[in-house]
Amino acid sequence: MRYGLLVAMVVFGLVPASAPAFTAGGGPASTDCLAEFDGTAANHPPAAPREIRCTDNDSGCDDDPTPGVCQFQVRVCFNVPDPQRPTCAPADLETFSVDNEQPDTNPLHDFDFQTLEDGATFLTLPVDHSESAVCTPLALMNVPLTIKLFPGGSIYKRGKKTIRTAVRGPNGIFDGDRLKLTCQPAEGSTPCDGVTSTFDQIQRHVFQAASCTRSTCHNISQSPHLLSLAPLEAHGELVGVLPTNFAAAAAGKRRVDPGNAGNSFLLDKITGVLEAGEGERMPRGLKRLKPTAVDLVTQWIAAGAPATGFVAAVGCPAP
Amino acid sequence: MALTRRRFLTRSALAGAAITAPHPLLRAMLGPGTAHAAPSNPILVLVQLEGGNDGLNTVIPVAGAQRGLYETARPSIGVPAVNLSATLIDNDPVTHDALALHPAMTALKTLYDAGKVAVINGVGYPNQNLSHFRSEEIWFGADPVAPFGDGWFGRYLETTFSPSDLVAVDVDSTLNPIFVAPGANTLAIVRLSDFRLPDDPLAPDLAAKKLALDTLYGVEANPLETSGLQRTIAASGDLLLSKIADYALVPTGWSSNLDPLGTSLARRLKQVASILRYDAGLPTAPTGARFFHVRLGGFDTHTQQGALTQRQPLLLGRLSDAIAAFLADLAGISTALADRTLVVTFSEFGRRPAENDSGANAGTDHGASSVLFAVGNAVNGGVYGRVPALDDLDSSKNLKFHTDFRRVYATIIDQWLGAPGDHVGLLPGAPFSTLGFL
Repeated sequence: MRYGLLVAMVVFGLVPASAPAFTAGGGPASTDCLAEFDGTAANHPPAAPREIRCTDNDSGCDDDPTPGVCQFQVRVCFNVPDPQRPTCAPADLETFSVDNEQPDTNPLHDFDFQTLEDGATFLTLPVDHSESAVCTPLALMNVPLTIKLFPGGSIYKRGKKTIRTAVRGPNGIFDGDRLKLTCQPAEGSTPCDGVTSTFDQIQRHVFQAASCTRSTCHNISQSPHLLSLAPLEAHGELVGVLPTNFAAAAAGKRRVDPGNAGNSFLLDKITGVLEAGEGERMPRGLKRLKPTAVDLVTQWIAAGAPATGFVAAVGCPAP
Repeated sequence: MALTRRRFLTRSALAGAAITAPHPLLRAMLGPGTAHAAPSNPILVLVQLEGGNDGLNTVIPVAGAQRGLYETARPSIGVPAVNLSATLIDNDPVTHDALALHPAMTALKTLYDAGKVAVINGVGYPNQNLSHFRSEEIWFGADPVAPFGDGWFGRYLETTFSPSDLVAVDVDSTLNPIFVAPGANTLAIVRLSDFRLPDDPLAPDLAAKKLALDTLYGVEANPLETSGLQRTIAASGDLLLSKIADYALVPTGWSSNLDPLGTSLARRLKQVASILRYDAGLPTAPTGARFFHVRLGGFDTHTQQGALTQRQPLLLGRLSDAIAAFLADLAGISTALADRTLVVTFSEFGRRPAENDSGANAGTDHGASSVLFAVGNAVNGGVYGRVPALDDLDSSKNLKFHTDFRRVYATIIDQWLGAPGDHVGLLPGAPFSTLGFL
């Protein structure tokens, strides 16, 4: 069964062409082989790699051709025969967890982590001590570059993600591991590349970058907010539209009131300047948006909140 | 003393012990199909697909207008029609559109061809709640309106059995709410090999263990000197110790069709099969267990759901293989045992028709109606309900349900558990018409 799975993955191109390069992940040598990372090879530091460090769009490590995000393949293998850890004996393994795997309401929740944990929990474990190098399906780990906005432009900065895992078995068997994932900007690339308008920039550099459009949030219009910030829907659902929030609507606000930033509930939500009954600051549970992002939205609203055209002095310039 | 309170409490889960009055049972309306007489001592295995299984990629439109809409909604995770020829099932009974199981479900397709699988499409409830937790509660309690109180199966247990019968087992580390009711006792056994007490020279046999427990809880020889609470705890403890002794004799090392699968679901179903095999071999059926809940998680496929590989296809393959191997095990033990067994899947919701990303990252978000399966020798195989139309979505752009999930429960209670009636008291909102798949 497990070999069949591996064959299927090879057929569909999901397994990297390079030979397995396990990364033990840290911890006592006597248990560090119980779970090891495999997939896109860790490459940093070169002497003892424990991090995947990749430049955006480097085809040697980044599977995703989209600028601004690196995609790595990661799986976890259990009971790995590891010549560098000769004292590590295979064990019966039963449970596996990844930090920030759940729940959806956790602001640090990461669906890629959930994919990895589910693959181990429901498709791979339990593993018997007699089994060797039993691996989860490959999970894709998407690591977006950080975007820093400044007046008249923007730059990419390094993006990071760390996978922290724990596998457990009977009688206190435990191996905790960590794999750092780093995406570095490609030389000469900027977040303004390909941006078609100020609103397109807001879409990419504010809504998407701040996780507003992630699954279970504003990727679709759903209760209670009934507001989609998805690219083809956001403008129509924001501009001139009455908020679903009763207090804000009663105060006469609009989600975005073109030309009137002071009456735009979107700004209240992202700045956290809210009256009683107007709910929580967004993005909920995450860091406040930087002043430059708020300025970008403010200037766009002040300019009439157009769907097209470059109208904000702080945003990307027209190409 | 080796039998400590902590050790006793951590060995199992026992619900409360009060008994409510049985409700009146009336004759229910029969749905379509030919109803079989309910078997004596029926066995029910509820398989929960945790996370919200995507019904639209489980039973898939193959041709026609719905197929075009399906491909439009799912450019990345849509299963190509060319991959569906080996898993075709009957057409939708309402729209007559061609349907197929996901290609990973070849084992279930074989059972379908043998007339042992009912595919029930478009199952859901009014005003779908998109929270895992709340929607699970709704499915567990069979009540889309009121806050969770009791499990629907727990209510059935308390109206049909004595609390000392212990006929239900949750093969998990915690007791699923579906079995919970004030007068229903259920065992939660994650692993049979762990469901036992350690050897203790001071309490070598069952009688000595019971005495130790009575001592632990201060039960006196004179009943007048013992509180009602102490007696209740001691009685529950005695019952549990007896059951631990019974279950300790269940062999698990036998050669099962589930063994090669190696998955968590297969291992849990092996434990169910082991219990049934043990009871079937003895006239007294020592464990008496006939109702089981097992869980397969991982269906919350917001990302990397996959069309032919990745997450959901692998899960569906595991599910299909495990159910087929489980039923093959039972058939190998005895035809009578297999005939008495019904497997029913359920999930808290389906998923949205539209995928949420592109390429290998694509997944689906929480949705509404979904599909479930009823599998067994006594099933009237075929397609029931109706696949929700992709051009008639609800206000949240989710699939509309056509078959209230309580109709499935009513069918099970009525046609399988042999408790015909209006099911008022068991199913809030009753009566519900049955579906005819039994």
